[in-house]
Amino acid sequence: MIPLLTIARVEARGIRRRRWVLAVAAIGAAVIIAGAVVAGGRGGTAGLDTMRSWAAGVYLLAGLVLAAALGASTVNRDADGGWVGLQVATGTPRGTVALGRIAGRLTTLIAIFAAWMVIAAIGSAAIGQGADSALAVHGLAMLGNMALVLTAAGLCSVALGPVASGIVAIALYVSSLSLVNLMAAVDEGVIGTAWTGLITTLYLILPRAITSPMLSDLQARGDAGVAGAPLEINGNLVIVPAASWLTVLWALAWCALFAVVAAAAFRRRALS
Amino acid sequence: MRARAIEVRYQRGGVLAVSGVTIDLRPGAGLLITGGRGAGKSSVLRALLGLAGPGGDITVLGAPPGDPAALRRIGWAPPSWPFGYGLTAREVVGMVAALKGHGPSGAARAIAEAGVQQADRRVEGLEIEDVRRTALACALTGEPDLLVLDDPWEFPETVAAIRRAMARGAAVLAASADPGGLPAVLGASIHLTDGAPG
Repeated sequence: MIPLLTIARVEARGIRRRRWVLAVAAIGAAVIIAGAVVAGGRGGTAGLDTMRSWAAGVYLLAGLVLAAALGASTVNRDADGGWVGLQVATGTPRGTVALGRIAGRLTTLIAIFAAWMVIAAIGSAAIGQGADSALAVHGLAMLGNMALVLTAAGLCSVALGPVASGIVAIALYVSSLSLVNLMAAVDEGVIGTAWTGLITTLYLILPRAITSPMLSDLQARGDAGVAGAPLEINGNLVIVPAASWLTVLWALAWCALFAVVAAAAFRRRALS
Repeated sequence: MRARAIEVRYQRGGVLAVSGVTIDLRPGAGLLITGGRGAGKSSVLRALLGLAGPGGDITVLGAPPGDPAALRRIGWAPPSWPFGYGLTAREVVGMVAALKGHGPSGAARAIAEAGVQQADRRVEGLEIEDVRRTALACALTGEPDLLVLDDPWEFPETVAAIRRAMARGAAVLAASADPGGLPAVLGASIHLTDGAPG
């Protein structure tokens, strides 16, 4: 356990000093603050929706960039550059090295999301809406989604290059979100019955995105901005419900599975 | 350390990067592997450490390559640059010391022995000399029973560290394309051409 924590701590420290990580974190914070300023000018329910949609946009876009890029650098480049080999050559089991590297990146993602959520809560309070627990719950939901992206990219990085790993992980998130949308459409009966069995099976097996009650509400009203356009399937407006606790656990289980498989696959990789 | 007919193949079914290399290294002895770029020197060292899937009959400190307990008794100086991006030289060596079960004092001693000039500067901002000294410091951490140095630069500290290690009974294995005066220090050498002795 201690070697895993040592590697996680060292990785997190190195990552947090990288300029691009600081830049993405700062841009996200600046956009949330700007959202609070715009929301303050509108006031009332419109102001609250503005604050929420701007913050949700940051959680989605900046979060996706951060998670994919962090996860995609878990193994490949550092394995070719000698850094991972140095960690393994200390006698630390390869699986521990892989899990420690993923944990270090996950810790960084959590720290940055926590900072954004605190800024959003302060922004909400500043416009007279309190700490806005619904927005906080949405932040946690998106953190779960981004953990899925990060761990998937981490798994891919054992065998693929950084760009390919990031693209595959983002594609996985898009597919997990699509699956949730399609399942909502099935539940509302707006998809042909021929597809119902396939969609339900995939929904039960594959990773699912976590949707929050706040986003579900904003999306239904068309006020979610970049975080979620209204969903129309076959000309029908589909309301995507908030995720159940089972879906949350399912997403987290997939994160754990990706990390464990990455650790297993890493055992066979040649290192410099 | 005994290694007979070392083979390294980086991809299943791919060409052999190294074949037919035999190494016998006893406590207190040294060996230098020389050869041009791409001759397979680094691949042999990686094979002995278990970093690259090796073939052949290999025993390192009484264990197969990559055995965690044996690796903790080996000091490894990697060749690449830079490594540990975002960290200071002290943090890099400190990580190696911590993972091997040594405290910060072990890292500080290794940094001093290797002569790292700017230990509190991030590795990507270091002069190349200090990067190589940082790699040497990683290898010296914890007084290992086997020193494995890939592309060591011939600093006075490198020579002194090799002599000190051999004097206390540790074996030293190094690989270099431009060995300078290291053959005399290590005492024995083998030359590789296209992954094979010769």
